[in-house]
Amino acid sequence: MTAPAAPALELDRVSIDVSGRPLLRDLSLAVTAGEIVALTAPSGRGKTTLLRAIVRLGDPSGGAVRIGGAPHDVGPATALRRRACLVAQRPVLFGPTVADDLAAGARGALSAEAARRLLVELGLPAAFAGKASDELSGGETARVAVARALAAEPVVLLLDEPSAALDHAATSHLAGALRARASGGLAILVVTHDDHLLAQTGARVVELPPTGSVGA
Amino acid sequence: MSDAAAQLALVAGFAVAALAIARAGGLPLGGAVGRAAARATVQLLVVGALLAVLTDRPWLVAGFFVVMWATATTTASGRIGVAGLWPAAAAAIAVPSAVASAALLGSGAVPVSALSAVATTGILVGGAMSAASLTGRALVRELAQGRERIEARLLLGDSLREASAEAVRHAVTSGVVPALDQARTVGLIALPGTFVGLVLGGASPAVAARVQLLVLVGLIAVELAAGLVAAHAIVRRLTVPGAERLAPLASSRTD
Repeated sequence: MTAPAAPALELDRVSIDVSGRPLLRDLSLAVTAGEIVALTAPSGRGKTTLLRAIVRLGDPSGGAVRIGGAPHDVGPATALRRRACLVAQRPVLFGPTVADDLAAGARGALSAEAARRLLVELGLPAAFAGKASDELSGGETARVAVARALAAEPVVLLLDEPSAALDHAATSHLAGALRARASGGLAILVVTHDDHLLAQTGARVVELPPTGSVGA
Repeated sequence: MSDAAAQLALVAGFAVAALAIARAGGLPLGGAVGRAAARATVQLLVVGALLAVLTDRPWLVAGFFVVMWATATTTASGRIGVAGLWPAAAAAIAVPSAVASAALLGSGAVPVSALSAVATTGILVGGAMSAASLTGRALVRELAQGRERIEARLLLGDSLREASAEAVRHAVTSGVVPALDQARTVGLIALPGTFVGLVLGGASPAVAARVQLLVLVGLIAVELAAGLVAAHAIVRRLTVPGAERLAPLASSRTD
């Protein structure tokens, strides 16, 4: 009998302080491969700070973060961020074209066909690959940013309010893409207030308490 | 009235005129103008006296270099405002200026004497200081304003060096603009110091022009090197050890 595989992402009694002010206390949470978990909480509870801490753009004040069973702070942060990709709440595209952005996600190794497939997966026309990145709307930028993260082929995808700039139809498309990726084994942790996205993804919803523990 | 007294009186007259202009213009620069004029007067009087006895005292030349580099390093580090930058600023200023000075003096392009060594090195150290300061200030501003863009690259697995490369390029370019402008406009708008000094010292205008050209182009190389070294040192100083991210520069988000 083999031991069960470690969760793709595991938070073990993680605490977050900002400027000495406690935001989160002893949060425990596991996201397994193929699972979509949604974190919800009122603003100011530290959701964004938590996502940033997972990819070491910040430090938790206590507890442990593990990716695939390995502590997230052992080894280069660059390698961690290729395994656990965070799409920020206000994503920035680099350009000059959408294809260049997708190639940046894949670190240069992405065929034109793969780029077009990613765009279509997110509900964007394949012809968008040649479009200038700085000419996109907010919603288009958000979807290209998710596509760029997917191009990196991470094991964990972290999304911070990914549907904030999307209309109903685009949110449905995003949810479909996330469901498909999860069924392929991707672990997804999404911070959102969007009931439509929650319903469409069928995510396991975890509401962050001010303090205390959330069971896996 | 002696020549020196007349010149000092004229210096005082210009300083008073500058103070009056600042006051008339409602500019809060009275103190700064007064202090700058007084400091420059003292410094140049002391330097003038020291240079007069420099030739037969090699230890004084060495001391001059140390004071120049230390002052330039302290000034550049203070202007950039990043803690712990002194050693890197010292290297950024000292190494390129020393190499260029050695090339100018060693090739015989500039007469080999204590006086010309101090004068040539001073010009190069001043240029390196200016480039390091301008580059450093521009880079700190670029890193603060472009933080989201840099973090977006970090999130794709770039190193901080890769993610900040664009900011470094912009900063180094802006730091070397004065040297490039000076080279572009030389002889058209103003005659630079080396040229004027050599001509006043009795050199022919053709010789003075050749030496000035060497110094000007040498300055561009020195300033580029100083700016690049300073910029990469700043990125290293602002990297959180082991986490491959920028240390806080201004405010941080909480949610």
